[in-house]
This record gives sequence, C-alpha cells and structure tokens, in this order.
Amino acid sequence: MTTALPTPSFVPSAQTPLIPLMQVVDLSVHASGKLILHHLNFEVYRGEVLAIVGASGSGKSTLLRHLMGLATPASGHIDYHGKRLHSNDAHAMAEQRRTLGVMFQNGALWSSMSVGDNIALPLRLLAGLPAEECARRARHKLSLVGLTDAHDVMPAALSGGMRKRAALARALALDPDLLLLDEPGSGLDPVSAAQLDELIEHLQRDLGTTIVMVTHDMHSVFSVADRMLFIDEHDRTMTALAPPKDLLVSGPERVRTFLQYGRSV
Amino acid sequence: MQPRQRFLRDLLAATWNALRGRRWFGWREVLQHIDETGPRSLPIVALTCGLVGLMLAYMGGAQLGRIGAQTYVADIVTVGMVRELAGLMTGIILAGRVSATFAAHLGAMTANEEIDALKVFGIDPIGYLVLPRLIALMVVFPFLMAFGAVVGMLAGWVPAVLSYGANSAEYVAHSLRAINFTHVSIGGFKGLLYAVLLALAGCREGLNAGRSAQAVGIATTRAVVLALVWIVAAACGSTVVFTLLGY
Repeated sequence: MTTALPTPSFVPSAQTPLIPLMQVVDLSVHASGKLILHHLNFEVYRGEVLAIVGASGSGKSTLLRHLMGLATPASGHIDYHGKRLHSNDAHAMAEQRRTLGVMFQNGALWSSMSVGDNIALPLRLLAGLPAEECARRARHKLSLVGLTDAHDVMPAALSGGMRKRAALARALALDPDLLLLDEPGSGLDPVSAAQLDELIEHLQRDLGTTIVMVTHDMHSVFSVADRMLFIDEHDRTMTALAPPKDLLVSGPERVRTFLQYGRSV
Repeated sequence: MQPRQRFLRDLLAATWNALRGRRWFGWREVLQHIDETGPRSLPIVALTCGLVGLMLAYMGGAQLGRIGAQTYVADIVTVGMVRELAGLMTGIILAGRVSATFAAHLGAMTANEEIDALKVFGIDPIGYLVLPRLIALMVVFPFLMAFGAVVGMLAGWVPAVLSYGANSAEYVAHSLRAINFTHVSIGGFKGLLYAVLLALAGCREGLNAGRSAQAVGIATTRAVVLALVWIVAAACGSTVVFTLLGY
C-alpha cells in the first residue's frame, strides 16, 4: 500500500518553485511474465537529490534502467522535460537521453580508451567540439571529481573508487540536467564513499544538478538525499516518498525498520 | 521484433545514415580495425591457402595423369583458388580469428554495460561499433583473399613441377591463360559477401550477448559457428547460381 506524502517536502530554496523535471506515471514493469514494478507514480524535481531505496531484488535498478530510457515499461510512461522518454522515434529518444548523465554501478567506462577519451568521446561526437577543446573540457571534468592526473590513464589501471569518479566525470561531460547514479557508494571504502557523497552534494549545491540515485547506503541517503523513495519488495511498488529523516520518525513500519537497521550497519 | 532481427534493421538504418553523412565513426577507427584484421591475418591465410593449393595440385595432377593431361594442373589450381578456395579458406580463418574477436569484444562491452553507456549518450552502437568493423573487413578481405590465391597458386607449382613433370614456364603460362575477368569478379564478389557475413555474425552475437562472462563465451562460440555455416552456405549457393547462369 502506498503511503507517500501527498505534498512533496523538498524545497530547494524559498525562491525556487517545485518544477518537475521527470514524471513517472503509473509505471509497471514485467519480466519473463513476472511483475517487477507495480503502478509507480512520482516526480523528480529540479535541483533535488532523490534516493531510491529498497531491499535487494525490489526492482530499484530496473526502475533506474527505465529512467535512463534503456528499457520500455509494460504500462505507464515517463515524461522528461515534459516529453515522453520512450518513443518509437529512435532519433527523438536519443536527443532526449543526451541531457541525462548516467553513472553505472561498475562505472562502465569504455575500456579500450583512456579516461580522458571516455569523457572526450561524447563531446566530440555529440557536441562536435575540436580535439583540443574536448581534451580541455575532459581535464576540467576530471578536476571536478579530483582526478586531475588520470586523463591519460586506461580504466583498467584505476582503483574501484577512482573508476567511479571517472564514470561520474564522464556522466557530467555534457552538463546533464539529470544525473542518474546506480549504487554510487557500492564497493568503496568508507573514506572514498564519504568523498563521493561530498561530491554529490557539491554537484547539487553548487551546480544545481538534479540527481536520482539508487543506493543501499543509508549513511549516504541521510547525508545527501532530499527525498527518499522506498520500494517494497513484496508489494513491488512505492510505499514511501519523503525526506529520509521524516520517514525515520513517521514512515511506515517496514521503512523505519529498514532505515534504522541501515543506519546501524 | 527479436533482438537479432532488430540488429539487421538497425544496421540498415545506420548504413543509410552514414551514406547521408550522419556517421558516428571516424576513419581512424576503420584504419585501426584494418590493422587488427588485415596484416595480422596474413601468415595464417598464407599457410592455409598454401596447403590447400598444394593439396589441389596433388589431387588434380593424379586425376589428370590418367588421361595424360598433367599440364592442366595449373588451370585447376588457378581457377580453384581464385574463384572458390582462396575466399573460402580466408573466410574460415577469419571466422575463427576476426568474428570471434568482434563477438568477444562487443560481448564484453555488453556485459560491462559499456554498450548501455553509449546508448544513454544517444550514440548508436551499431553506427559507432559495427559499421567501422564491417567496412574494415570489406576492405581487408579482398586483399587477403588475393594474397591467399597467389600463395595457393605458388604452392601448386611444387607438385606440378616436381611430381607431374611440368616445367615452370608451362605452369605460369597455363595459370595466366586460365585466369580471366569472370573468375576474378566472381571470386571478388564472394569475398565481399563472406566479409559481410563474418562481420555480421561477430557483431550481432556480441551485441546480443548476456551480462556474464559465460554469456560472452557463448556469444563467441555462436559467432564462429554462425560465420562458418553462413560462409559455407553462401559459397555453395553462389557456386550453384553462377554455374546455372553459365559463368
């Protein structure tokens, strides 16, 4: 049963109205005849950090793949910038996706090219920038994530944390309106995870980037997320959507238990 | 539509877009694939085509010897290599060498979500990854095949001269007389057809691989088997068609 708060609690600033950047409307997902997600409805507002939380196998990553436009919903739809994210027009879909930045769970850096080229490729192919400008911007993005010296390094030579940062730099290559992060802190040591959280905060606070992240890391949720969407693995739908601190106090019991246990780990 | 059928549709769309000037790949990528598929395949193509040329000459010489026509060994070796066997052997070698590489590389990219990363940027994986490989193979294959045919003809000289009593000048003269524009054209056409089939088998299976190491292995095996079956079927079909058409 959905107990989402009727009005969103997120208020980026007193002057900024709540503008939905992405709207998920009655989204249901099936795979091999099995229900994965059931009638999801929520909005992502400009400038917020929304954390998608739930038990393993609850469909969080599946939801994220739909938000990326990589999978087509069984029913319902996703609007992004007021237009349908999924359409039969491949060209229109590609145009829509270009304002999304995605960081995959394992980084998904293109292994046959250097870190700098990973960032320069979309700039060269999509923005049509000359090679020198692509390299300059790639170095700038790498400096944002604290990887100034990694421009010419191949992805295989990076540690897990550095790979995630490089993937984040690539996700920022085209200055996306919406950043989608899949388990940003997974596999990282506590210091690297905390640094990544600081980076996410910086992106939201200083660059105004809207961020949706799937995570199991409750420390990260409480430190960076404005709102938290909880997907219940039994009901296969959203059972709560509110600021994490509110949910910790007054959320459904299952959500409170999840948050309390997650915080204590 | 099934993913494998969608691959063909998307490939046609990417080709059409590239012809209209909307291409994702650079010529540097094509050159890189030419380098990887071409020069490095030369030794193995030379070895296999040489052995086939040798075998063809021995067998042809033995049969022609019954009617006292051993001097025609050169004709059999030349026409056989140029028209059929150089292309077929090159195709078989490249199925194991190139189709497998394409499938393993693209399969690993699929498993590591690198293909998804291209898609979310709006970069067409077919246009960026498949077309340069296809073009590279279409450029490289005719050269490899021609090289294989020459090596096969040279290898056929050994039994023709040493076992069947032909002299070198006779062998060369028969070879040059046997070769004509029709044989070269048919051989070239088949070479291009095999190149397309090899690239399609490797890229299609790689892009449709699952998300595990095992799936990459399965995709690679499928690519090699498919490439071999497609090439042999195409060789057989084209031989029948050209023969029926009187070529």
